[in-house]
Amino acid sequence: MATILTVDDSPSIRQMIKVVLEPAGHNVIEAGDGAQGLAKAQAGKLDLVITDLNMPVMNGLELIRALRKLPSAVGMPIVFLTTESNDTVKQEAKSAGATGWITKPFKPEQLLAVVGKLVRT
Amino acid sequence: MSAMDPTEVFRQEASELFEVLEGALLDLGQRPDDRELVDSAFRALHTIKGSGAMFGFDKVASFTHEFETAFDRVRKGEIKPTQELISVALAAKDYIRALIEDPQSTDDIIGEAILDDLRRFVSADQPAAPVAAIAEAPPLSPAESKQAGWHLYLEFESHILRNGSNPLDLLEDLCKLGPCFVVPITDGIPFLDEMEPEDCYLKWDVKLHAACDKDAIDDVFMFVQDEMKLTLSPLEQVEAPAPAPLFQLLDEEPVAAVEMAAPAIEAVAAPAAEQPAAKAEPKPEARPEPRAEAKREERGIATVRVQAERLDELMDRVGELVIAQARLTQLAASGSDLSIKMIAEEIERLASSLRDTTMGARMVPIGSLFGRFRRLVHDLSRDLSKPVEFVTSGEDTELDKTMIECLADPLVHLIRNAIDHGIEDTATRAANGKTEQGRIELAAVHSGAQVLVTVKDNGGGLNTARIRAKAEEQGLIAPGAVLSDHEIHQFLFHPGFSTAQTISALSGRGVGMDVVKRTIENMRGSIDLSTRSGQGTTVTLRLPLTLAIIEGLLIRVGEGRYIIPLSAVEECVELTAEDERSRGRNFLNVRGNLVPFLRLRELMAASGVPDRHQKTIIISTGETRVGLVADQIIGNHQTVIKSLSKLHSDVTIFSGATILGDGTAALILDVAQLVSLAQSKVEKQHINEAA
Repeated sequence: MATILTVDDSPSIRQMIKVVLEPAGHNVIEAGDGAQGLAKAQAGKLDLVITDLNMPVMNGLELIRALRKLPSAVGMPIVFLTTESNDTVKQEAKSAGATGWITKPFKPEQLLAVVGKLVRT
Repeated sequence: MSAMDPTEVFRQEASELFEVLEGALLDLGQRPDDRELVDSAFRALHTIKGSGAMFGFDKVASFTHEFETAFDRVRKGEIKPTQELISVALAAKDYIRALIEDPQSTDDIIGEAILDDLRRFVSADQPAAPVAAIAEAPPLSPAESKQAGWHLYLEFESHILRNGSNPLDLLEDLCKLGPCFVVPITDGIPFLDEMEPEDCYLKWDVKLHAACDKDAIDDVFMFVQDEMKLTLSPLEQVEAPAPAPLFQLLDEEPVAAVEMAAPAIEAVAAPAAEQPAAKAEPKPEARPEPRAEAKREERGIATVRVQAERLDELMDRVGELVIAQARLTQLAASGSDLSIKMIAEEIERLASSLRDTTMGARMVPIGSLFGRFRRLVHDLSRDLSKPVEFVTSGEDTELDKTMIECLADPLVHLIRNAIDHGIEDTATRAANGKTEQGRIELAAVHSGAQVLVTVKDNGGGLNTARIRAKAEEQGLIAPGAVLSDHEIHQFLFHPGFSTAQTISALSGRGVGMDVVKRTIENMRGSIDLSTRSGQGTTVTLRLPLTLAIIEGLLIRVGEGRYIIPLSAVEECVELTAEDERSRGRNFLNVRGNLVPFLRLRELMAASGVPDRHQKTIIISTGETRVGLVADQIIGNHQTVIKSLSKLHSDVTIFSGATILGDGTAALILDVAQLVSLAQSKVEKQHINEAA
């Protein structure tokens, strides 16, 4: 069972991720913005972070950069959610340290596929 | 684990986002240059669009997309948030809201019209992108002709491990496509003292013996394509065995090749996790400093969403716990076991703090309610051509959630009244030397165990003479009766009392101050108004902090026990022999005043012998007093209210029930109902006597 953190200011997206990943046997914890997400990552070991980019307080890019500075998060996969199909956003997030991405809107299978790629149980 | 339906969560969330959006738009009208407001509106739109598409609200997504495009231009500073744009934006917001909440009510033609208006703000050279753009079109490269397999050469950028991609996982995924021969190339590994523990130095040579699509391979490396060198060449059907001895060895045991590669990778990768990212870490880029808005939101967001029902359930459980604890305390007090007494005290302390905490969890700041009225004031002030400044304070003041919901309608009414009747038109204001712009203040403040909510306008004040004239006309007072101004103003709370000379679309529609008063009183609150001619009117609502717990007076009638809300109790007197003799008339002499009384024994059809000394509890609702005759007054009792089941909804004289310390139930009397019951009895008597 992997511990997966979903960071999104939209509760419905977090809920969707939760209802998809929990039956797959993962432990999903939630955070409403980057700052909360960072705090959760500092509080315990995570196997994967799924974060939105556009969020108040601390946005996704800032969170990814901050996470990459945590000793405990070195090598931890980070996936970001994006509605943009253009590559600029992806490049920026990748160079900030993201591992992969999911394009919104996504289907449960797509989410599971990406998680399956990055989390080994 | 019960999982809430994400679509339902989306609806809830969207309705909150609409409030944020509306607030930002309205504020933007005042402060067009506030970047934070633009960002906050944009973010709300962005989330509605993104989530809308996820949960099948396609129309919402496409509509919002164009809305967002227009707003993006505002965000980039290309166009100004003019009043017109804000008005259109508000209309667009309402339309999206309708699409989500009641799609049947929407009409595409209206939507198109709003979009046309919005597009006027988007320049012609920027045609609105079709919504299909949201869904990413996967780059479909035509599948190449099937091969016997693939020969791959993989070389990753050195930071790949730090960013969470694991080459070992990728190789494993590759192996899932078919049998693989994996050979690590180790010539890039430096001397130990030059080695960065977090870097990846290995390269791989892979022969994949499967006739799969190139797409399938691309899919494996989807996330790392930009961070690797991947050369791919078709494998010939008859591959000449590789000359290198290592390769031969691996050829026999393909899976072992991966196994062998693994320790090599792990040896390189393992220290990475322990090592704090040293010099190689990406430089943190300057973060935009958190501003006021960010702080505001932080407070709002650090919350957990819980269904209100669950809080109610929790409250019920806590109520039962408190009751069980009371029984324990009773039991402990009657025994002599000191250690049980200590435990009972400890539990009593814990239970009471648990109860306070639970009550606290039901409290929500009143600000969420205040936000709704800004639109109301905005629209009303426009419709009536009365410029009005709307000021709120005390948004942080917390009230029980149920009460916040009940307060909405009364406040809408009071604010409408204030604008429609309170604030004078601009000409009158100017003539009286006032500012053209009227002012309405909505404030909430804690006062002891109560919350005061005030609606204050700086209009013309109440017209006492006109209220008096109307009251005389309706026969509520005798002409020439001596009444204080305050008493005269109370007539405003009479049903059907309206002095509005013309019925406007806004006020004077029959739903009057009497309904406001009744609603507030149902919440065990009170309403009061004060006015100064020419200077304005202030309406003050006094509300208890919570609906879930009341202070009650516990009484006994026959075998049954009942609770009377203490706030309604005026005094307790003994029923004298003289009062007893007035059987049939049922009036009680309280210091010279005749007060009607109800015999609860008769009302409850109580059995058994009545106590010799019957007690009377005088209760009141405002001006009317009624006596209730009971066998015994037991005392004060803090009561956790439990509502009656649906089966009992037509039992009017009880407002709820509670459980007593000994585990028995007690019903809570509905004071307003008992008072009107007594009054109707008095009226019947009058009719009987007259006949």
